[in-house]
Amino acid sequence: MLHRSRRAGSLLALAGLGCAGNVPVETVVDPAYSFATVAAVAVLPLFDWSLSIRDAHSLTAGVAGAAHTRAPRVRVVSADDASRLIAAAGLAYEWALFLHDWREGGELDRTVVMRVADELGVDLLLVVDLPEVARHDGATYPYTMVVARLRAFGGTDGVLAWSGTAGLELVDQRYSVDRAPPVTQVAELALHAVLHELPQFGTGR
Amino acid sequence: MPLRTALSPLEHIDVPPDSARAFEGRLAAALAAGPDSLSMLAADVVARRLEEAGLTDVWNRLLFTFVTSGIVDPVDLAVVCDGLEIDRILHLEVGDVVERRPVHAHRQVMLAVRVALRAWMFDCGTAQLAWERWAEGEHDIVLSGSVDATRSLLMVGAVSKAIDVLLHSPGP
Repeated sequence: MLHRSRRAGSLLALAGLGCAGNVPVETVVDPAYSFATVAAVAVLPLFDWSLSIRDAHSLTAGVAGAAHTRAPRVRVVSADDASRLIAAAGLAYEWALFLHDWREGGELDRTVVMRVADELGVDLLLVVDLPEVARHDGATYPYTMVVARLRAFGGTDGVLAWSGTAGLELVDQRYSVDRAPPVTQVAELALHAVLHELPQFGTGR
Repeated sequence: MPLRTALSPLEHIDVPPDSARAFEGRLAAALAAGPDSLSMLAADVVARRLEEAGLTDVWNRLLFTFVTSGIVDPVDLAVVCDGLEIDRILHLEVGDVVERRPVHAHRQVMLAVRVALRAWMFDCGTAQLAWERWAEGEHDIVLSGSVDATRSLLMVGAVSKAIDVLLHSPGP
């Protein structure tokens, strides 16, 4: 049974001048999952049409850094290492299919999660994505809206152990008077809010 | 020994095929005239060879895997590289498209878009993405005729400018 909660009334926050303020985060948690016993986590690589490869690396590196800060004794596999190991194991296409099926609401092959976790030697897979991005240029109201999501899949059974989602609309004319702010800046702010809500893991209790 | 570099076809719903072929030609000519010793395989030749070798599905699967997971499948890349007898393959994609709010003035409607053109160089030797270059182009136009036709003109203009940026920006 998944428990759903929301820290504020609306999922979307509006920010200006680069200040994210209080970003509401919607979370879903599987109370049966034991976060305390997690000994190793992996951050999976991210591709998004609105982010350069470098910016995508930066976002996943931020998640890996936050995971390490949150649980210093837990081994953290970076997205680069995860990418290399998944490719070497011949699991790249299966993993892509899993992500695609999830996005499309199709039937999920949870054994792929288990195989990937097994290959990476971790208990938990952290998967970042941006389910929604909208932007508009224009002198009157140039904005960028991003919904960022972090999902944690348990490696032993492939279930969704936790998910956090935050949306942020940013109007920031420091970059250009009539251009939408960069997606990466908005995504970083939204993801930062999501990471704040990530359950404690690896406490060993 | 020149690096055998294939250029894969650019495909986008709002970019007509003849415009796409023209962009590929400009890119291939610029790369061939550049400082690197390259032997270019043009996009139309690449498309034909992939089809003849039954590798179109493999190439499409590689792209699907990459744009879904961010991971380059080394097995699929090796199959494509061996089939085409190449060292690298360059792929262009139209990424982010940002529309500008229409401007109404003097009984005319001005439309504009800003597009991101993404160039990915896949390296056969390392079975990795060697580099990505990201170039933006912006184009505006007065609305005339159908919205679809105007959108296509906008996209072609913006992609053309992005190609200019790509060709004149420093290499990776």
